[in-house]
Amino acid sequence: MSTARRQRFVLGQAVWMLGTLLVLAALSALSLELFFVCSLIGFLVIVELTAPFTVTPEWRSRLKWVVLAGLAVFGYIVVRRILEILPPGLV
Amino acid sequence: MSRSDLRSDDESEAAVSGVNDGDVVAGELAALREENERLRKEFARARQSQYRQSAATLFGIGVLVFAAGIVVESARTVLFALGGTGVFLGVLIYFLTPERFISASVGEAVYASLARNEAQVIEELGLEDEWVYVPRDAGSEGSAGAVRLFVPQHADSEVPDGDALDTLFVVTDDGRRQGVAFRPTAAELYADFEQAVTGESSTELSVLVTELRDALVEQFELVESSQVDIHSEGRVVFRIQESTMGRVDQFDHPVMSLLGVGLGQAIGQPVTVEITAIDDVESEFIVTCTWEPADERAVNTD
Repeated sequence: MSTARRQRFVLGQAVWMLGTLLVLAALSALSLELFFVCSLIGFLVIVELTAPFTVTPEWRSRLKWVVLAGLAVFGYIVVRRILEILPPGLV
Repeated sequence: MSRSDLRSDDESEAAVSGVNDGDVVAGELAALREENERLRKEFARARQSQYRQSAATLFGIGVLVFAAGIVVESARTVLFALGGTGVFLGVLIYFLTPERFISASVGEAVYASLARNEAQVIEELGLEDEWVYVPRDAGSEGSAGAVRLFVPQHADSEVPDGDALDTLFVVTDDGRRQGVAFRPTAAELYADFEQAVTGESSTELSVLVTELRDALVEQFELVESSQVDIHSEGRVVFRIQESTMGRVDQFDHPVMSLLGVGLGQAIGQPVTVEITAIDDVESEFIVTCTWEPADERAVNTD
């Protein structure tokens, strides 16, 4: 039955991602990795800020799969960065 | 041939053949129910496809922008980021789309008719304007069916014991224990609430009322906002704003029903629910839940 909160949630995420894109572009700091990380942080913040304290509606329990996918990509980025920093021949 | 033609044909045939008016009404009622069900399904399908269309549109735009990024090298990063945003939001909308959907107005319309019928039964039987949610032992129906809404016949009534509440019309030897017992509107909602609550449904009053308030606002979205105040042991007051299912002071409204069932089930005592309208614009109501505190109960028992 319930949709108003889902709409608000998606709208919040859209505003955050477009705002991030604008700010990074304005600062000439736009890179895909940075944009992804900022978007993921925004997503996690929105998930936490809008989470009810005592009940978990069904649609919210499905968000954990999105979070897990985001964290997996984030982990990949981190590993790649570490490998770039390490001196060549170490790995 | 239109439905009205069919109806007039039916009516004339009934008059000719002398069929009882009740049969005609019952037939019309069945046809209307069928029509109502069909419209609800169509509406749900339309809304669901609308969400799916939004998701597909965003996803498509994202892919197009992404493709543009491959072609336009000078703005590749921006276009990739924009494309990624569109694709992600499309996937998110698709992922969160409700499997089943009926609008609040449809739910309210269905509930309003049922509430009117029940209210009429109470009025015609001359019962009291008092609503008591009585918890019972969880039987075959589980906790969802373990609470009954009892409407007493007399002001100084007592809640009947035993299996008397199993029947709709509660008729006992003791006149003070007579009335009507309904299955509450929120019986199924309470089962959903039990599943959605984080951990076990609490029996501690301060936690329980917060859970019920969150369920009304966040889980079922029956109200826009709500505040709760525990006045004393045996009295909790909820302030309800912007109900999505019409006036809360209707008979066994889902909001008051969930509060009555939830409190009754957790406390294990009959809970009387009263509704007070704050203004006349259907937006704000006070729901007062009262029950006999444990200490007073012990004194009365002695």
